[in-house]
Amino acid sequence: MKTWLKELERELKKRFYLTEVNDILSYYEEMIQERIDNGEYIGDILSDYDAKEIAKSVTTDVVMKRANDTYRTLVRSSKQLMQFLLTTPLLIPLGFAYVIVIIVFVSLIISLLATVFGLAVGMTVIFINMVQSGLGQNEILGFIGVGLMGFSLSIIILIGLSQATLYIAKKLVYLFSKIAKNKGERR
Amino acid sequence: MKQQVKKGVLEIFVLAILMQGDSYGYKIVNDLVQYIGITESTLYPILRRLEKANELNTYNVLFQGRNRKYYQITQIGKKHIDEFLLEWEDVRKIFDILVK
Repeated sequence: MKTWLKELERELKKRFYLTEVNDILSYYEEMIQERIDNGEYIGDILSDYDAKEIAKSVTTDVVMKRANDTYRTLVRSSKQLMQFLLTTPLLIPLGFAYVIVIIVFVSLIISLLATVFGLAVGMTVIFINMVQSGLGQNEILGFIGVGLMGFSLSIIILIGLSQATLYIAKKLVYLFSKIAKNKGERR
Repeated sequence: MKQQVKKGVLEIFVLAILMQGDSYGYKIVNDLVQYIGITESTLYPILRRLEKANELNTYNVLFQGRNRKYYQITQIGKKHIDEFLLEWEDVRKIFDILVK
């Protein structure tokens, strides 16, 4: 039993966090122990379980159960989901759809970031030109005021964008996990 | 039972078992397997889903020198059963009207 649990642990560690690994391991350890206590032979019990298959089959549930509220967990969940979808024959089309959605989503974020950055650079260039062209103090002060307002607005947009990114990415992971799960269960 | 129907009712059956009293994984599988095809691997995600939805609580009990995890239905879990049964009644009523 210990050898099999080690094998399951190895498979789970490739995909999940330690707390998730421990939760699944303790569940199967308890199940196997209960079956042994009820008179079943260890060989028969273990022949019912396939460590690789177990690790794969719980992927969508584990990913869905995760809070996924930091970029780190989101990137990890996203990678695991993508890997799972692209290595499960029935789910490969869904895997490709997920990859495309992620590419579009990341491109949009990069475009928005580039726009905000471009605005900041543009404002700086205009400000330098105004100083060099010898404008009066009032005009320059007025422009600094407008510039600061623009800068504050950009910061607000960036914060909002960061939260929206997190939220949408989280929903995407959940949505695709759910579709994959439903498709898997329909098999 | 058809896979699509089974998928929807398994959670309710697990909750129904727990309505009789707190239980643990192995016993839940054994209690259910008499009526519906279910394995330990099928039960694991169901238990975790219900746990995440706060439809059941868990606690450990020391049994023969090892931990046995018990599952206990919550008020949210009971509400889930009630809502499901109401919906089921509605389905039945609509079906009866349609076949009349």
